[in-house]
Amino acid sequence: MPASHLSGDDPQHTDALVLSIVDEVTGRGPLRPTDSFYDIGGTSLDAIRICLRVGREAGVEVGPEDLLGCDDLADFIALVSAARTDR
Amino acid sequence: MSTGPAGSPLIHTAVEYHAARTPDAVALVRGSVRVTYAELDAAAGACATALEERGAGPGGFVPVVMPRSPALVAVLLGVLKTGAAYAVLDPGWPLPRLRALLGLLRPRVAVAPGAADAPGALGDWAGAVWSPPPEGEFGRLAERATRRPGRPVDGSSPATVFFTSGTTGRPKAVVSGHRATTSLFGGGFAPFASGPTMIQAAPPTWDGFTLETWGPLLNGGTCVLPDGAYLMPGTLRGLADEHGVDTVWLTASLFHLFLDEDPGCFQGLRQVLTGAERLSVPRARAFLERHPTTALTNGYGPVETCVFATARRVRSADCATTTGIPIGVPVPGRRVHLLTDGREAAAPGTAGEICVSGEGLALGYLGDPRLTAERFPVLPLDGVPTRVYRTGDQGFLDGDGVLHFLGRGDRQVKIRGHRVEPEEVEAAARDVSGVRECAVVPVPGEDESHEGLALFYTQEKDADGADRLDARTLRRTLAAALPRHLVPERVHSRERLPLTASGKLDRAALTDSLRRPDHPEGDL
Repeated sequence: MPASHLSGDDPQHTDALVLSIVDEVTGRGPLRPTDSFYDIGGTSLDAIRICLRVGREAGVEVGPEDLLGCDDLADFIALVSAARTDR
Repeated sequence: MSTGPAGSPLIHTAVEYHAARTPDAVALVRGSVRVTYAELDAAAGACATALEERGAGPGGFVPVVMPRSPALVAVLLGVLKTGAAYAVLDPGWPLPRLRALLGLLRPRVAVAPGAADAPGALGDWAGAVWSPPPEGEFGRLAERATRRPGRPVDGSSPATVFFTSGTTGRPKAVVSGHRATTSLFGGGFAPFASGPTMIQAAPPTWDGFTLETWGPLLNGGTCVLPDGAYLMPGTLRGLADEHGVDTVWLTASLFHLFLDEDPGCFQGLRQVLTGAERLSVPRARAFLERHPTTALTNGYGPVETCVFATARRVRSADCATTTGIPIGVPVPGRRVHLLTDGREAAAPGTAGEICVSGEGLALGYLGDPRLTAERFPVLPLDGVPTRVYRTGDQGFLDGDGVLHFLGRGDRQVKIRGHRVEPEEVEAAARDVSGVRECAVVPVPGEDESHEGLALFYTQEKDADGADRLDARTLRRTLAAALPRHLVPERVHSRERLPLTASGKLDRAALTDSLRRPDHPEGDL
């Protein structure tokens, strides 16, 4: 399991982690969970970068198509949280 | 070499050659599905029979509305066996776009999976639709193979159609003959000579698909199709381990991303091909240092020259130049000419428009003879009338005859490998009710690359002076009309667009406004 700078699977941490990664990659922050990845101008390359970083930092596997298919970032956070609980 | 692939001017007969010689060799892999050359050719034959029954034949165009899959490759070979040309359309494109392209192709029959269950897949299109058996029933397709006579086509017969952005607001349909593909991959192009095992991950609507599919299959190699819509560095590692993938093509922007995020993911590959955008010098250097035994090839070529006009293995010395990584030397079937004022620029180092001649050239733009004549003129070169494609790109040849890219003479940009004419996006935005004026500029990235598109617009107001069209609605409206790579990532409403001192639209000012970090959504 990849090292994670997070303690446990606290959902609030997943929130903050995902939002900070999306912000870091797209440079469109500050972001809220109700923002849509599509509406902030996220590209497929951004989605690949975000999923790779979420994979490294949260230790879960999510695909760019998952992120691009989400209505808003809250949906994506829920996906990541579910994957973290499953592992 | 009339029996060898190098002597075969047709795409499908080159694959038939390998099916006869090495029937049990693996042509396509996806997950646990392995398709041999014999199975692929048999399935293609069954597709051809079904399509001929529905009117496909020489001189016709068959739109294929299917995602990347082994079955897609069989269908495309089947179309070619009927003597027709194929055009792959993305099932995810907006319906108005699909309908417009069908109108341009005027097909007797279209291929769309499951069309019988979902007659709305192509809207109210009235033509015949054929659906291949569902994915996973590849064997069933092959069982239906029948012996069919060859069709009267030759190397100059249309084989492929690709759509590219047009400045008039309508996409251009680039039609190429078989020989454009077979002249490149039929032998002599080093990266493919040994029949590579190559990833096929590019969208089939793009000529990167030609490279990844016909490159291996015309040389007895193997195409490995990853699961998932996007190739990830981890997937690349896994497929190299599991299926012996030795070759991958990545657009320069994707190559840079893989190298930034997971530089070791290329471990064990024999070669990496890149291009379609400017290759970053520091990244190329980092790659060569980390993977000295993996050949990195940088290529260049608009779709009108079929995949590549020039290419060359990147050397360490290339990373020391001030003019960027060179885009190489002409590949088989192509010649390069640098023209200024319609005459060949002679001296090395002299800038000119990159023009290409040879077997790689497209036949032209479907339904647009005027534009075809303009972009593919016959020019006297060394006293010989020669048909060329004028790329609109500026370049120069160095002392060794190697081509370097300088830039564009017009507004065309590359976005994630896709060629985009900002005028096409502006035309679509002007069609949206409420838009008054608009301008599309690229969002500047690093190394002179472009990260995406930005649309600035002014709008009509309500009687009480309120805005009628917010940026989000405008963007969603455009997304319903345009393929994804043409939809601007950023849309900004403005009270007025900036003008230069001479009263023209100041695009440079708009571009500069995008450079500022944390640019606010509101006014400039």
